[in-house]
Amino acid sequence: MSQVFVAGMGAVSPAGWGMAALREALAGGRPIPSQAMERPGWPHPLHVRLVPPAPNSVSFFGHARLRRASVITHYATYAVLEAVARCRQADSTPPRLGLISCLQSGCVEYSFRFFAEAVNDSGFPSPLLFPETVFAAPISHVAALLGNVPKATTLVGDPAVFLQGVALGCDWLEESEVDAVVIVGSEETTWLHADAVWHLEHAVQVSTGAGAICLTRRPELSVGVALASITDVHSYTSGSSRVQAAEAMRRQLLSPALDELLCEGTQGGQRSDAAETAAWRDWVGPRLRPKSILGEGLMAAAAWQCVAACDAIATERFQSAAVSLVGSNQQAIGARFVACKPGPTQQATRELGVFSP
Amino acid sequence: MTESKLLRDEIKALMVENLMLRLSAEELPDDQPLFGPHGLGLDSVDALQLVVALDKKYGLKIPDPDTAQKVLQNVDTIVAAVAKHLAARPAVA
Amino acid sequence: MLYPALPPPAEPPRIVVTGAGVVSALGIGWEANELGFRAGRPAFRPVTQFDVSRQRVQVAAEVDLPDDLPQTCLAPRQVKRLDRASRMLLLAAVEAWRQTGWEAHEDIPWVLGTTAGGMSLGEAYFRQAVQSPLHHRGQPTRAMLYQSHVQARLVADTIGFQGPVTIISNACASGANALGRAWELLRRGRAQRVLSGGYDALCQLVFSGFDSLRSMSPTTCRPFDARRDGLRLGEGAAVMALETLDSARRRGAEILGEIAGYATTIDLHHLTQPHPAGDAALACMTQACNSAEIGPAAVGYVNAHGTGTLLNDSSEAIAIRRWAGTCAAALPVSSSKAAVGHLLGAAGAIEAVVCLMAMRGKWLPPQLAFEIPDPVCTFSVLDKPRDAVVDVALSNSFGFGGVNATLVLRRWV
Repeated sequence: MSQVFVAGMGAVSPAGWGMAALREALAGGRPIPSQAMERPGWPHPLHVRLVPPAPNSVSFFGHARLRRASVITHYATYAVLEAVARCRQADSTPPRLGLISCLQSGCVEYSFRFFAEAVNDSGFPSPLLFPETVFAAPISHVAALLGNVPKATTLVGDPAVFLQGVALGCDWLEESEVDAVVIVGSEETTWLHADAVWHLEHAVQVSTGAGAICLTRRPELSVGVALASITDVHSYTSGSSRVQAAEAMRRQLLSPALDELLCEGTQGGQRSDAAETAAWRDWVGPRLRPKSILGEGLMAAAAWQCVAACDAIATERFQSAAVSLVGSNQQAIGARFVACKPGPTQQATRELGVFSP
Repeated sequence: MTESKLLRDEIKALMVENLMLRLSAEELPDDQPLFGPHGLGLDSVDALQLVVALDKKYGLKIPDPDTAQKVLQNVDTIVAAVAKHLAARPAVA
Repeated sequence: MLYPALPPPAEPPRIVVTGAGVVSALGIGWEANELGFRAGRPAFRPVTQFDVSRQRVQVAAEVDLPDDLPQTCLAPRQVKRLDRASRMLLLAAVEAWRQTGWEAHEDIPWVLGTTAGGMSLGEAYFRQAVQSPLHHRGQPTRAMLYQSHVQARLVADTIGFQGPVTIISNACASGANALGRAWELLRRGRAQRVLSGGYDALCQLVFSGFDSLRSMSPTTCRPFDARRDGLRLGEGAAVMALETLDSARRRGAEILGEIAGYATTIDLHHLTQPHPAGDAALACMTQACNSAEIGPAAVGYVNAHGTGTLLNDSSEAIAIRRWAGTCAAALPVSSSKAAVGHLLGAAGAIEAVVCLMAMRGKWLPPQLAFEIPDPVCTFSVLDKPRDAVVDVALSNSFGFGGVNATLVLRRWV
């Protein structure tokens, strides 16, 4: 299987729109303040971290396909456009792009609004909302906006599915039906969705946003990062608990060099952290814990872990970075990214955050 | 402000909200076609949404696509249809 | 490792079907469904699962689920928690598993398509959260079992295999995309055996959705008929046990058919409407045939996506005509959706099973409710059941959101 390079990253998070905002928040190390979200019928609100309003520089909202789309599509679109910017500028003809959308909760906003109208209203639910409730809607809009997209798919599952998506992207590159592939993980929320996450674990606070990573086989497009490995899928089954799967994933990632950055998914002492904390208890090297700063972004948070790992290498802070995805209720998968010679266009500017779609 | 101006503004606000249009009610032109190549770029899903919204708010029934095509040409034709419907309604005692 | 993956075998293996399970409104299991599809029996009835009194259309192809489930490794308490969608998936998976004769194994991948997963549990969650906000009992379980990968794992645990779960959700193409991905995994030597298919249960949100778009037929679902006026929803599940020919031969397993080709494309035209000229559908059928190294002349039957809506059937008919060229006139085509409705995430899977059934049994399923041909159809719509020996069939699935999939199936001789 030929070597796969990272050609770009994109991110939308409670820290803001774009990689620069994500990088700054993670470097600052202070959790983004959460905000109250009213929970009808409860004396106290839920606490969430939402993406702030988009800056005026974001121009794609006028596109016909995005007029009716919900915010999850706006987040995914921005992250994908940021991740593919280098690829699209590099060639005269736009590259053939494969798009892989990864979701855990999906289009919960319009699903909630549509169902509330369907059961409460006098039988007049809004037809405009229903098409946008489908898991496949966000990537359909992104594909229409980009244009030269021969293949697209949507994978659903727990946050470790993001690395299933990256592995699928490597297969698509190997088939050479696409010149580059973008994997995007995105989430949005409502009080009902935040309520469901709360029921699964009270201490967890939901976040919204998206993260995207663009892969290519052309070294000259690399941002100075190459994909080194993705472990097998370590499933949680009747025969293998979450802790055992997390530890098996850790072992398969081998023992990374001590100066390697570990991007892991713990948030600070919750029940859901136990398996991952146990798996990495003996790791003494540097760690980055995006969710402790940006909150539980589910699939988006898995994407933030990957783009943060790539960014740490692209900005020459680390030579290699491991990503540990211990999913909530499906599987554990790990990956490693390493430094490589960046493509020529990359040398001009190391600042990846400068971007206006 | 005449009654028909009030109704026109109310219908424009209903359209901006229901169709999630990227322009304000004031900016919504009165006679520009809503559909078709030179229109506002609305499609059949938008048309259905308008039919539902006009029924919910004014009780105006648009039974079939042909009627919808006539009534939903532009803001003027919608306002006219709603005004006619409201005028024909028995005055509530 | 998922990456770098093992180099694919020099010559990609042939992929055969050694087990298949089917659940639809026609019945539970291969036999009941074969009888219904062969004779052409419509299986629609008034919806009983939820209130449709305010809906414009009130009919669907509902499944009659048996009370008792097959013997499973789950504790009774766990079986009780299975929602309708999981039960249908379980019935289809157990039937495929028993037919293939595989013993429990730790790394049989489970690749599934679905659009709504456990939506009925999501709806129950909504009702309790809104109507009795301080009443939390049962909500964590609903929030967990609502997720399709959790449903898939529960069903895998009932049978006793442990491989990775992959859920693909590309609206109506999901089931065909799942079988296609399973085929790719086997062709690349990533696995010797894969269990794959699709499932979806009727739910109020989706039913109200299609009704709000006026996509459903108030009269009857009549694909390719000039007076067609919409689709009908159905529910069910279809699962196939897929393995390499060598693996099947080593075990002396009975082979039901072969998946010979697959392709997927995306139609960028509109979120819910296909491009009128059927460009993406044409590309999908062409690429699928290329992957099977055949041309249109080798195809003896097309199980169309054929929803019965104005737009899909005309776009697909044009795509089939452009793809089939001179072979179009004699090409038998029918859509199973007039019998069991549109199964959404399971449609691509059950329609592939129908192709296997037909080729294996040497018959072709009729197109129900087909009286006045739409002139756009320049192929031979099967207006009544027919006995026929067909070696290669195509199954089309075109999704809401634009993702398309075509499978090429071959009769096993």
